[in-house]
Formats: sequence, C-alpha cells, structure tokens
Amino acid sequence: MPLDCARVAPLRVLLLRALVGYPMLRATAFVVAALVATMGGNVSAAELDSPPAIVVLAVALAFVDIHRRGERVLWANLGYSPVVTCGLFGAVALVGESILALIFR
Amino acid sequence: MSAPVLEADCVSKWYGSRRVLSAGSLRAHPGQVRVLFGANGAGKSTLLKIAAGMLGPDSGSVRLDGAMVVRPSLHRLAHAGVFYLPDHDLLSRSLTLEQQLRLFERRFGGRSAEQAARAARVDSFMDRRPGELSGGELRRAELALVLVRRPRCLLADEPLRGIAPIDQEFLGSIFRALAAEGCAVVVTGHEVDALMEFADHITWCTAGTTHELGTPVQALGHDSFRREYAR
Repeated sequence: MPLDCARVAPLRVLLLRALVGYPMLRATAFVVAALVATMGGNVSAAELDSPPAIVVLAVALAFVDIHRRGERVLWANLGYSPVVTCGLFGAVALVGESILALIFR
Repeated sequence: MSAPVLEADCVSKWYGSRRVLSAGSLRAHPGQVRVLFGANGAGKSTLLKIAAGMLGPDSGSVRLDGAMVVRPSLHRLAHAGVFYLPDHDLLSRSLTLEQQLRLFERRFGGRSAEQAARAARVDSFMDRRPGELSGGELRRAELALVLVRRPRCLLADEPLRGIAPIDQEFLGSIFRALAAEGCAVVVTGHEVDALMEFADHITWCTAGTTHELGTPVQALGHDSFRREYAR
C-alpha cells in the first residue's frame, strides 16, 4: 500500500518532539535508576530504566505533554487518535531501546 | 431540505447524579446555520460534545450521513469532514498560527493557509502563538483553521462569547460563507441578537431536552422562548 503523505505529514511535529524527548527521558531514567541503585533502593525503582518501563513512560509523557500544550482537540480534528499521537512517542522509544540493546549487547 | 450530515438523536447524559440531558437531539443540515440556545447548564455544550464524539452519551445515538456511528469519536468523525470548535483550547499553545494552519493544509489540502488567513483577517500575525492574541483575534485564528479544513460539518461551542460586536459580526459572516459552500454549521451561544442575525434555524435546549423552533422569526413567535430571550 503506498504511503499517504498527507496522512503522515502533520505527524512530523510529534516525531520531532519524540526524537528530542526520548534521549532526555532515557538519560533521566538512567540517572534516577543509578541513584536509586547506589542508595540501596528497591529493585522496582532501579528497573525504571528497563526498556519496557521507558516505552510506557514515553507514552505517558506524550499524553501529559499533549494535554499541557492544549492540543487534544487539535490532533483529533486532524483525524489522529490518542493511540496514534501518544503511540508515536512509544514507537520512537521502542526503536531507541532496540538500538541501545544492539549497541550494548 | 437535504438530509442531515450529522445528527445526535435522543441522547441522554448524566454527570454523576445530575442528569444534564434526558432526550436532546441535534441535526446539522448542509447549507444551514443552526443555532442552539439554552441557559447555562441546560446541556448545549454537552449535546455538541456528544455529536462531535468528544463525550459518549448514556443513551441515544450519533448518525453520520444517516448511518449510526458506533462509539463515535472526534478523530473518526474528522475523517468524514466534521470539525469541532470548542469554547477554548482548540489551538496549540506552543505552535505559531502559521504552523497550525500548515498542519491542516498538509493533512486535508482544503484551502491554502494564506488564503484562509486572509479570509479570517489573521494574516498579519501568522508568526504569533495563541497566548499573544486577543480574544477576537484568537477566535478569528481558530476560524482560519476551519477555513483551511473546509469541513462538511462545523460544530462551534459559544464562538461569540467575550468578543467585540464587530468580531461577532465578522464571525457570523464566516459562518454564513461556510454554509453557502454547503457546510452544515451548528453554533451554540447566548448572544441572541448577533446569533439571530445569521441563523437559519433555532433549536432551544431546555429542561434536558431540545425543541426545534424553526427560523428566527418562528422562534420569536414561541411564547416561552420569547419570554426568555426577546428584549
């Protein structure tokens, strides 16, 4: 099926935000998890920087960010569901985590 | 009269223990500007949100081109040409007006961003963000988005609230222009004089239900409505 450019073009705005946001989220999660581990914190907090947690956090942060910017109705009027708009951030995080896994394997 | 593009039929809605709508209906007909009047808390905005897929009804149905929409949502209805203009927060706080117009231009390609901005008289502040606009400018900017989209059906919640009479008149002319292009326009509000000027049909939302009163002249012939709204 050919890629519908008109359908995906507006998502570049979100993609850009996700590409900026993911490294920041990754770095923050890494630092927090390292701090928790050095302070002898519990295992669940130290797993904050596990790939599934990062993907879930990316989706949650996207949801908060879209609401903070007052864009919920804007994206819906453009025909994008929250699954698409927030899922895009999750997808970027998933790709990022996969690349990191390949590098540090 | 042609068949409605969008209709919310006999919908009810409860907020907790308070029933806002018991049997409200709303119909959007192509080429018509319909105005939904009602006191604060009468359920106008709720009815509009249900028709736009922003809220689910507790009972009743939403139909698009005569076909029932299962679990209506705005992003699905938007594909079919429905545009919802909320009473606040349509525009992103972090993007300039031009960026937002371009999103709709690229997505739907209805009108060019420049054309729409000129038509809505916002072309001189395309590089501003919504926070830098006055109330009237903000409403015109939102309508520029509508003009780029060229919707089949526009649902506008209190678009004239808090803006100057000259802007109200201008917005009215845009609603009329949209209707002339075949768009089905539904507007809610309290600004009786301004809304009556450009309305084709009046619906009155009261006591949890809606009454179709007909043309503005016919509406003013309705005793209860006249008592509440006529000066």
